[in-house]
Amino acid sequence: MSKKTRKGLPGQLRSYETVVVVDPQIGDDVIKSIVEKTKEVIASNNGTVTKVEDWGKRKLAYIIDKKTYGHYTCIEFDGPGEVVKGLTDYYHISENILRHITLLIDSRLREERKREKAPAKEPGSQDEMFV
Amino acid sequence: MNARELKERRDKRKDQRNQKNAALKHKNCPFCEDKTFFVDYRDTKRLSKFTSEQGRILTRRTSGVCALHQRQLVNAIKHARHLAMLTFVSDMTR
Ligand SMILES: [Zn+2]
Repeated sequence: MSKKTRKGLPGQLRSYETVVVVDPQIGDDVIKSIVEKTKEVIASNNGTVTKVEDWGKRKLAYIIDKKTYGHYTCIEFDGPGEVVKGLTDYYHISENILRHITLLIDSRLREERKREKAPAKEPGSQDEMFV
Repeated sequence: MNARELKERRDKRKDQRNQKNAALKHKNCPFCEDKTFFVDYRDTKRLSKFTSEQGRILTRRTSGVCALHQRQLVNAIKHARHLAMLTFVSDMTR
């Protein structure tokens, strides 16, 4: 019997998403290069990027390293569990990154996000009202 | 009135009672009412409704969230806090 771990089965592809908060004062070019490098890290660990979302500059809920604003980028990808370690290693080395997180995307969460984008119409709800 | 009829009647009452209880229990959870599959950490506006004025996570007793959604909600709030999308402590108390 194969043991299921948080990393998943060896070589198994799972879908993740990683969010990076970069100091916006360093300029758009540097932010772009950081995003490109994270993509490279994912690709070098046999992962495939599925979606890149730029959330833009946002006010932080609390001050981090004397900074009040952060530039948020979210990258969704499929890959084996080793990608996560590669990413965290990269984030630790590089400067100007205020916060980072890599999460498994639950299949239920994906369903939820689909639903939010296209709010489901409730057929028959009107009929019930008249009955 | 024989034993079988009595048993049927008892079962019927039991069912009714259970239905009542079920309705009461599931009435409160806002996520169940909205038919949420999974609580998203990105939805900060919604998450902040389940924190106190000081920024602490509300208990199930006060918010009425069911056990399943509370487990998801707690994780979501903690992820959002880590990314500085929610506060650990509000500005008032800091
Ligand atoms: Zn619920």
